[in-house]
Order: sequence, then C-alpha cells, then structure tokens
Amino acid sequence: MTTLKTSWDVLIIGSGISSLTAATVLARQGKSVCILEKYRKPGGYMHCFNRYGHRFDTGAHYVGAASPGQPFHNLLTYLGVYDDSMFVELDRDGFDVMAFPSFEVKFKTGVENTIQSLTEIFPDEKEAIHKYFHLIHDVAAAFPTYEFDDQFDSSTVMEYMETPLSDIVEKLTENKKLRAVFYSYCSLHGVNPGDVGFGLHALVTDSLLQSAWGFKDGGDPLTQKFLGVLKSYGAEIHLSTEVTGFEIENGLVKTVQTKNEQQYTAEWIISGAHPKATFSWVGDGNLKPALKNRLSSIKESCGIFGIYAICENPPHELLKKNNFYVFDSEDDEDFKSALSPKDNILGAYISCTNRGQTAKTTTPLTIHAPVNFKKFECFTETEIFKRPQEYYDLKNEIALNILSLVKKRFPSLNILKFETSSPLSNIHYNGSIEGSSYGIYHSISATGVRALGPRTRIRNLLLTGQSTLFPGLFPSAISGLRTAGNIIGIKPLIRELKNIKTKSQV
Amino acid sequence: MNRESIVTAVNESLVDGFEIPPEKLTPNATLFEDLELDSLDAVDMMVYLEEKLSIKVDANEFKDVRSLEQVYDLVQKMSSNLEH
Repeated sequence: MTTLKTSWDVLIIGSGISSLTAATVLARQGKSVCILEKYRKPGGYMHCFNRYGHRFDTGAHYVGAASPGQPFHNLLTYLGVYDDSMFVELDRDGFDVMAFPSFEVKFKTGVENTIQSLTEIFPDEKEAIHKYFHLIHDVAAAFPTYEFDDQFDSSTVMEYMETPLSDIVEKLTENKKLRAVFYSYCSLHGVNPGDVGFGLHALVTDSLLQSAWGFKDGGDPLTQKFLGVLKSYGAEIHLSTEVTGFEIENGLVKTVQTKNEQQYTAEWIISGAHPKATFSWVGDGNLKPALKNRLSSIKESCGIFGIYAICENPPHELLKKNNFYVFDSEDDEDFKSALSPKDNILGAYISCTNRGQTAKTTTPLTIHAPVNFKKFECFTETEIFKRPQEYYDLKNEIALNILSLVKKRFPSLNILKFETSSPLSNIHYNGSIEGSSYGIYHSISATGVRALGPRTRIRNLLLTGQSTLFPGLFPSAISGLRTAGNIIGIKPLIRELKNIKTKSQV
Repeated sequence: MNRESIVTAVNESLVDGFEIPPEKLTPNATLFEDLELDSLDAVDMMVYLEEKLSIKVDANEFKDVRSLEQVYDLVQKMSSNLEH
C-alpha cells in the first residue's frame, strides 16, 4: 500500500497554465512540488472536450508571440514544454477578421502589415493608425516580463497602466468606426475601453501582431507536456482534490485541508484559484477590513456563452486558419460596454477548431459571446446536468440570438447541431466566480500597482493566475513565472529567459 | 474638500480599514514604522481611500508617500484636481 505524500516544499492549488508554469519553474530549481486540482482533469482553460466526433476548445483558442525568438515561445522553451507539433500558425495575411456591419478589417502578422491593412480601409486616418500601433508596440515592449529584459522603464509601464484606452484613442481620432476597430480587441480581455489600462490592451494586441498561433489539437497536449516535465522532476498532481480551507497559525498557512479529508503541509502555498476563493479559505478573521472591503468591491468580468457547433459545407472563409469577430455595431459608443444596455449581443468570436487541418464535409465551429451573468444567477444553486428546463430554454434562446448575429455575416452557414455552455459551466469546471473566462474585471482599479498578489498578508501564501495579472494564456503563464520568482528571485529567471531570447536571435 | 475634512476622512479610513488606534494618527506618524503598515497595506490603503473618498490617486506619487501628513497632502491634491 502506498502512502499519500502530503508534505512538500511547494503546494500549488489549481492546474491552469499559471499554476503549471509556477510548478515547473520551481521543480526545475529543485523544489518538491505538488499540485492539487479539484477537477478530475488538469489544465484549467486548456481543457478540450469531444462532441459529435470532433474536438472543441474551452479557452485555449489562440495565442500570440509564439514564433521562435518571441516571448511566449521563449517562455515555453525555458519551461521545456515547447513542441512545434502542438501549434499551427494562423493566417499571416489576416489571422483576425473584424467584421462590422458595413466594413471589415484584417489584423495581420506584423505591426506594419496591420497598419497598411487598416489604412486601406481608413485612408484619411493614416497618421492615427500609425501612431496607435506604434504606441501599442512601444508600451508593450516596456514590460519586463514581456520582452524579458531586466533593464526596463517602470515609469512608462506605470503611466500606461493608469491611462484608459479610450483616453488615448479619443485623442488620436474622431472617426467613430476606427475607434470601434481599436476597441474590438477588448473582446480579448473583457474590459471596457474606458476602464482598461492602455498597457494591458497594448500587451494583448502586440503579442498577436507579433504572431498568432492556434493549437493543432487543442490545449490538452500542452497540459500533458507540462505534466511530463513535472513528473520528470518528481512533482505530483493530485486530481479530484478540492481545497476547502486553510489552517492559519502565526500568519502562515499551517495546513491545507481538502474535501477528501486530507491535510497537506508545505513551506509555500501558491493558489491559482480565484483570489476571492483563496481568501475565503484564509478566513475573515485573518484579513484586515480594508482588504475585505477591496475583495468585496472587485468586479468580475463578463460571463461568456459558448456554442460548439457542427456545420455542413462551411463557407471557405471559415476554413482558413483565422478567427472572425462579428460585431452588430460600428459605433464606438456601443463598444464601451461588452453588453448593450438591452443586453443584446454586441459581438461574437468564431473559429474553426480544427484550424483547417482537414477538409471534411462537416466542420466543428466554436462561437463565444459575452452574456450577462445575471440571466443565469437564478440557476446557480442547481446541479450541472440536473438543471431545470427553464435553464435549457434560456440557453437555447441566447444561442439563437448569437447565431442570428453570426448569420448576418455568414448567411449560408448550415449548422447541423450544436451544444452550448453558459457562465454556470465555467463556474463548474473552472471555479470562476460569475462564470467569466477572464477572472476579475481587469480595470485600472484592479491591475498594475492595484492588483492583488502575488504576495499576501499570509507570509507563505502566494497568488497566481489571470486574476492577479492579465487575462489570457500567455499573461497567465507570466503570472506563474512571476509568482515562482517571489520564492526563488525573479531577476535570475528574467536573465535566463533573456539568454534564450538572445540565443534564438543569433 | 478642505484640509480638516480630509484629515478626518483619511483618519477614519485608517481606523476602520486597518484597525489602527486613533491616538496613533498624528501628522508626523510614519506609515511603515509608527503605524506598522507594510507595502501590501499601502496598496490596500490607496485602493481603500480611492473608494471611500471617491478620488483617483496617482500611484506613481503614492509610492513615495512615507508619513500621514504626506497622505493628507496627496489626497488634498487629488481631490482638488477633481474639483477643477
């Protein structure tokens, strides 16, 4: 009979990419590491699932800056998990197509190519377009954990994390359609242009302009790669192990308690769970009122609704290695909220999950759109797969609304069957508080110097994950790197990554 | 906001939000030594003051604040910026 090892150097809660990154960095440095995952499958938003004989992604749709020598590639290489058979480069001549009611623009690989693409649509706005994208690049490059440079300009980072995107865009142009184009990537972080720091928006945009890559077989192979590397270092992952609380003593987590009545101990605890969940395990009595107040006032980002569809003889455009964003408006004012005042669907993201690898008569399509969590709030106490008929009726109604928007752009789209996910599915599988895919609402008041973590009042408890930095796979991985850096020192890590970058450029 | 109401509001925030005894709240009190706050508290304090006083604090300036007097000065500056 084997005894479960419950005492470790580092215990990591959750197995999304931030947790896996932190675990790998620390295991490489000789720390004994154990990951506790509440679900039966690891990977967080890298999960895939199969329906109708096809694979669908839940969160890992595409990533930026993953060409050799670029930041995400460098990070995965450093972690020992990069494998080019996992990725497929998206169409360099238009990896993202933004379809507005009366015009379309293509975002292309390379800042200059995208500038040219937009200038063809907005010839009178050449200067604004040029200034916008160069500022995007310059601001992104100022972040030390983006370009992996230990010499960086903190004043630029701070200034642009405090400046709303809309302040900059409104000074650059009065063209409402162009403003809407600049705001279209707010779909990728879920924060309104008036609330998001330009720095965050710049990182998201610039990484994709560097290069955009899809997952050939979804995010699961990347998770498996992480697990293989971790295993080689002696790390363990305990699945179906849900944390229920911490025992706190003298300002430290003494034990971590789980639903299956195990007690774990470790020198360091890293939580990749939502900060509100993590602090609930710490307990109210161990938090100062100011922090409790702050936690209660942190907003969640918008809920996400998913449609996983099989379509017959899809339009050729959808079979290219690209994504479509279909919007119902081109008025910049409408882009100042992810949801219109009437809760109409403003935009939907569409991608062909098999990334054009095989030409079949039927093709899987993933469609996501923001949805108001409040619509689903009344079902939060119901159990997955046993929810009342009203829940399924609501999902069907929302799905048909989203599909009618999609069909405005693709009228011949023939969907044979589909399944849906609601914000409640996100709560069940990923522990998000209000069913958002982006964690907390990453407004200026919750990011930059105002962000929660990685350090906490509990001295051996660190936070990681998208809610502590920025949303998305690459930023989440960076948050894991940064959290691990709090234990072993961030500067040596940045230097190692800088060396990888330098070698790849030789 | 005048100086007196700023001092009252900031002090109330420190008592309510950080459980600091009111008698410790003198203008010369240093945040880190006298009030026993640390860098995590400083961020919580900035966010707490922003919410309670409906102001936007310049994070770049706040990082240099060391004494309670400097907190009053910065809040006064930020609230007068809002009024203009």
